[in-house]
Amino acid sequence: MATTAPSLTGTAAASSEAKANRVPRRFPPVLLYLAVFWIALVVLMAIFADWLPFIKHDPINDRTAAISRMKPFHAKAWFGGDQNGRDIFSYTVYGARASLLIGLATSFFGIVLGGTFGMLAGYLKGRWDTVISGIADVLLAFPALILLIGITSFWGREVYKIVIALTILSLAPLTRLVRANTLVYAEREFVQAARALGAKPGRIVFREILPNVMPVMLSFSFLVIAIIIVVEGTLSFLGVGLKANIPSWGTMITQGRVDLRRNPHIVMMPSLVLVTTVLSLNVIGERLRGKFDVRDAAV
Amino acid sequence: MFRFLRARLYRALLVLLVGSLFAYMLLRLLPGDPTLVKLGANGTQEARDALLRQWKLDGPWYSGYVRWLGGAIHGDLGKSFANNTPITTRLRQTLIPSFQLMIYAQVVALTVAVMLGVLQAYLRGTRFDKVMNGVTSVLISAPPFVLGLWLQIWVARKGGFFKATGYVPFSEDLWQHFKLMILPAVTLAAGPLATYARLLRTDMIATLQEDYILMAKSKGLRPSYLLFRHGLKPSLFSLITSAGLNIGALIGGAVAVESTFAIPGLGRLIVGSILEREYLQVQAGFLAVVLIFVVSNLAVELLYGVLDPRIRHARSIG
Repeated sequence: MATTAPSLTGTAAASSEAKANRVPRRFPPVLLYLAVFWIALVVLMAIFADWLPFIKHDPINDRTAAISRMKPFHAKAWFGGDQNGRDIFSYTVYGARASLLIGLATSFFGIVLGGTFGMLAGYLKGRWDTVISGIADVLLAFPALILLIGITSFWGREVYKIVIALTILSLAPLTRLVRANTLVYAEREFVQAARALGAKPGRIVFREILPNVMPVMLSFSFLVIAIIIVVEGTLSFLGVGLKANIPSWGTMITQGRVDLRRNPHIVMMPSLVLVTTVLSLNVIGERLRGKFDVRDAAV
Repeated sequence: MFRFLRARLYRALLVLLVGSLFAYMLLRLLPGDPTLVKLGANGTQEARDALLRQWKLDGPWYSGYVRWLGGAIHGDLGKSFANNTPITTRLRQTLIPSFQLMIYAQVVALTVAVMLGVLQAYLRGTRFDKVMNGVTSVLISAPPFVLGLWLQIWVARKGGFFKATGYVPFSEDLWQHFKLMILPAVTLAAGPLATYARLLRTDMIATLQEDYILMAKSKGLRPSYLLFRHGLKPSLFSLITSAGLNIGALIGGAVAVESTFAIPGLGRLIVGSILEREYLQVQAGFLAVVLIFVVSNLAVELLYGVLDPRIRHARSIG
């Protein structure tokens, strides 16, 4: 019952997660298998896109008049063609690269940095905790999407800049998550035993606490990637994300808007892929988190 | 209690300061010369210096920031490059559609979420519950910009009831206004709706296991009476908290919905100004979003501190 109070300090999403965990949600395993299958498919296609025989390897500039505005599910163009005669399927496969790369990079840096800060705050407590939690609190109090739009449109739209901006924004929730989990593990018997044996704080954090906090961070990283894919798509959709020379789902969706009424498939196909991917990541992440997260016990 | 109030106020002030500094520094971060937009390539050095002074971009950043913030507090956010109208006027016009959209979205989300959450809790474990869990998962996974376009494809057909884009003020034509706002409101509501429904479902399941519910059941009360009169009220707390904290996010985060449905709100002002290179308007828009976000969150937190003793107690201890 005490969860209601601390939930106010976080975002609405954070409180919803803490609540949703109390009664574990059971997805039928079929859905989980489908999700894993879909993610594997998307990842493999994105990795091996350059070698796959059935797609075009220059999806932005390869324009074929024959498939211009072609409807989907045709042998020559599985997802149809867009108004410029580009193959939507090839474009979507290459677009997955940008989404996955940015999502993976962001969640990697977010986990390394957020994990470090979170464990420092949760294990050392005291002044460290006050400063780190204070900064996380302030970061969480900003409207994230608007901040991102500002950073990309004024600072630049290069991939590494977008990754840096997204990492900064993903730090606060990850830090809080790791801190809460560290607080719990720091009180456990095996940690106290290590301390009693004279282990130094560095050893305790990396050898005793980190291996236990890691599964939570990794399960959370699925949700982080899902959110990042949505945010990257939104930025590209608004024209302030990746530059047009990099295939991105958001860019393709926004380009298809001009012909929305007669050729809705130009918007439909990439957006269906995007939603399926995000949904799969959410299903997997939620399932894993239900297994590992001890945050409810922490607060 | 006072420690709680003070801590919240300090944090809000800190966020406002950092946020306004961010809005100011955006223009400084801009690679290249911002006066090029206004003057073109062949402006004189004097004209350029005058503009930089007018935009508070001359001298070191801290003095510029203080002068800019001073102006902003007095309602002076500069003038638009294109037609020299004060930006505050334009900003004020965008606030009305933004607030309307937020309120409609909240109404849609809360109405549906209460129905759905209560039903799901009552029928938990059944096929209905499972299917609806899937539906809320999809709603959470479908970003607004995708959902908006899907609705435009499926619902807003040519000559049909719903129009794809446009905005008519409330005072001009009430009927047209609501007709145009339904789809954007539904799009914006989808995500929060799913979150609210899940929150309510979880809390309601816990409530339904309380003894007094069993007591009411054994008295033979109708299920609807039992659910809505006895079960709903004690289960609403986290739903309402979440909805309160969402107010700011729904105004600042409606950018994609506003640009999909061409609603002249705050988010569209920001994105439009970025594309038109109206840098001062972007700056002003950021300041407005941060201000709304901070003030609405502060109001909700203070209100809850007053309403629920558990919160102010937990805060003042921590």
